[in-house]
Amino acid sequence: MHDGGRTVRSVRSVGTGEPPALSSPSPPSVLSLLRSAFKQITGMPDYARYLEHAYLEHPNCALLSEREFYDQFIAQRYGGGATRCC
Amino acid sequence: MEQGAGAPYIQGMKRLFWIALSLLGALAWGVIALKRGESVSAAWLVLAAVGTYLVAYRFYARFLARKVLGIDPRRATPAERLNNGRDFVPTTKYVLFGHHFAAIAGAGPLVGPVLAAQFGYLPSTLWIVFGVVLGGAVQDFVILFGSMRRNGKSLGQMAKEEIGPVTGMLAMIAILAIMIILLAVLALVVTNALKDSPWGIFSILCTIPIALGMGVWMRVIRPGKTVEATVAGIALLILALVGGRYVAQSAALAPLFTHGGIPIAWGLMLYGFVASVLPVWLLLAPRDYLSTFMKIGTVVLLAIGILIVLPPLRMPALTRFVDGSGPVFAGKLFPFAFITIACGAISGFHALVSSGTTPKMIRREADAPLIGYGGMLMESFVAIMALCAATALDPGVYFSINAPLGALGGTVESAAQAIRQWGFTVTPEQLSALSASVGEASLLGRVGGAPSLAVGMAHIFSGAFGQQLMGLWYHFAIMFEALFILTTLDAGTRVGRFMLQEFLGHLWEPLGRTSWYPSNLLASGLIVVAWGYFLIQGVLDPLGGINSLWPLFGISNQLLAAVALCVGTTIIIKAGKPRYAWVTLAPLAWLLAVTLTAGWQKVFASDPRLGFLAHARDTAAKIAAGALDPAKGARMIFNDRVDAALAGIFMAVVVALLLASIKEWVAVARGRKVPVLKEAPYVETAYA
Repeated sequence: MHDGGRTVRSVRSVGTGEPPALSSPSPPSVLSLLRSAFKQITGMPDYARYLEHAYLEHPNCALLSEREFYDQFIAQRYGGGATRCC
Repeated sequence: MEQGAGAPYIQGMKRLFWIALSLLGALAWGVIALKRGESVSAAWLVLAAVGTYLVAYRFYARFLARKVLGIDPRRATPAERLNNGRDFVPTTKYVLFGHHFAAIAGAGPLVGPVLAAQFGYLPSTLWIVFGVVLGGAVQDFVILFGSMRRNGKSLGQMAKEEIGPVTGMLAMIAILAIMIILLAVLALVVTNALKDSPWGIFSILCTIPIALGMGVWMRVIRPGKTVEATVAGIALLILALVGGRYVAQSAALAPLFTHGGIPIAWGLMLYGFVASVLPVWLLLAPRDYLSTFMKIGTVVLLAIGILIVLPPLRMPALTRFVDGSGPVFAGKLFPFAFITIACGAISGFHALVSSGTTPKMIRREADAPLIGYGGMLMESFVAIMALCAATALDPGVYFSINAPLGALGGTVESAAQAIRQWGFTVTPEQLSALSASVGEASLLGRVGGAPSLAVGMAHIFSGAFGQQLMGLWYHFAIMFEALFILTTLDAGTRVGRFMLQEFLGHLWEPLGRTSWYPSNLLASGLIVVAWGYFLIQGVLDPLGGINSLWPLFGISNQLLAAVALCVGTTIIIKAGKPRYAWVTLAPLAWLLAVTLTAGWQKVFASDPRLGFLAHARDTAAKIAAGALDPAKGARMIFNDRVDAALAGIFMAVVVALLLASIKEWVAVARGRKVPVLKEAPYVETAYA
């Protein structure tokens, strides 16, 4: 859902290991858009969006693996104040 | 949006639409307010609410955005400027609307209206709809705006920077206090829903291993694959729900899962403690995903159900209990209807969310009204649906579930007798048939709102989707409520722990380290003991506990709303727009009137059902007369004094905070102080 409206295709194959090599963003499928919206609404980490951001903004920086990203996102989200109401 | 539409024809059509909508809303209000004798359809409630929301959103939210706050579509938001692909992420506005709604909606808007239904449906409807339009949505929107302009700062930080350090400190104390009372009252709601219910306890217990499994899956086995884990988790939840029926019917298994209030309360405390010191990925995150999904799904399902069934409201518009003699909780319509329905009309807690994750995700400033104001309208609609579900029940049935056992007696015969004396008719057979139909031994005196809401929802769901499944729908509703209340126990204990560690760190530095395990254990333990104290007190209370705890929760929540409105007023005045300060001052004045009256009555009223101190005196007299065990009585007296002191502290904090804010406003208005807003500097947006 980045403004570019594109997503990084290689994401889906990523497992525990190394971050994927950056490839140029391709048009997103309806399914990946839905998945991304679902993740954003429920407050889940969205690795595809992170990769896209990294591709566009920080092409020369080292990438986080999916697990590193997951850990950082969760620590940040639940590490501070209230995230949900009563 | 209408500015670009040049054609006068379209302009005219739009005007006609708004006039028609306003008239329709007014007609619905007329029907609700004036129809007497026969029952009103829920359709009128829904129509009046939605009509009012749309008109308010189109006109009042736009006025707030353009005139009062000065939303600037050219100004870049923190999500754009600080985009890091993680917490600062520009998000499509409808997706963010869903995210924000899921974050603010919880048990509060569901339980409050159910309890306040003892006054009839009319006062609650008026307060939920007009309270949100003029108060709650304004608060959420203004705080969201303020935080968005300050790179996503929290309410406490804004209070400190815009008003002063003392106010910041008071806001922190208020947040900690509301958290403890909130956790206690929510835990009490779950305890009352689960006691002596093997079906309920089994299905709720199952959520723990399900969440643990999801946690391991999402981090260790297939990192980041949250969607597949959640889908599998939901499927397992439904399996646990169906399995619960067999457990309840099995002579061997049922006793293992049948427990009274006290063991359940201790179990919840143990859960809160262990969960809050476990790593977040293991239990909290998966629970959060499950409960968020269930929450949105159930709200949508409930809306569809109500629209299909359009149940007649059997509760009268006003009951005789507006005089304060109601069995669900003590106190007159004013101020207690407005304290009881906190979330759904105005909730200070939302100010924490509106100054948390959401402001970091807004893509354009122009999206803020939909998310801040619109998100709260949606929450208010959830409260209206809960009210429909509760008031569509037969009033006799409603009171049989929500009145404390002390007033009903232990049998269906005594309950029917007591309810007849309150002026409603219900037969013992009806009550037995109801509990049998939902697979419970008894529903009598299950105070706290959740069970009667579940019965109401089960009625609507089975009316819309199939009559035979009443028991399953009831336990689905119970599980749905317990699921996110348990998530709140974990998350809330954690938030309380962080705040406590911040305080303790000033006393001895290592205690402030959130990475030091002994400090975590100590602080979590203290928070759990604090809410556990009120929980046990509530479970033991012969009046059902909700009678004393829910008003305390309502008062503390409105107190936090008062903090938020003080901050909002300061922002508006400092932005050079004191002539518009009434948009936050008017709801603030109302909240102060409500909170202070309610607080005063809870402490000093002479009716022992209402006033904590009068109850202590009454108990002392009973001990003296030999009618009460002295040890038990002494404990009750001590509890009363703690509750009275807490209500007193809440009132003192409100007054102190108001005075500090007024001092700041006067200083700015008189020109003694140069108004400097601590906003982030202006950067032009790249989003067209």
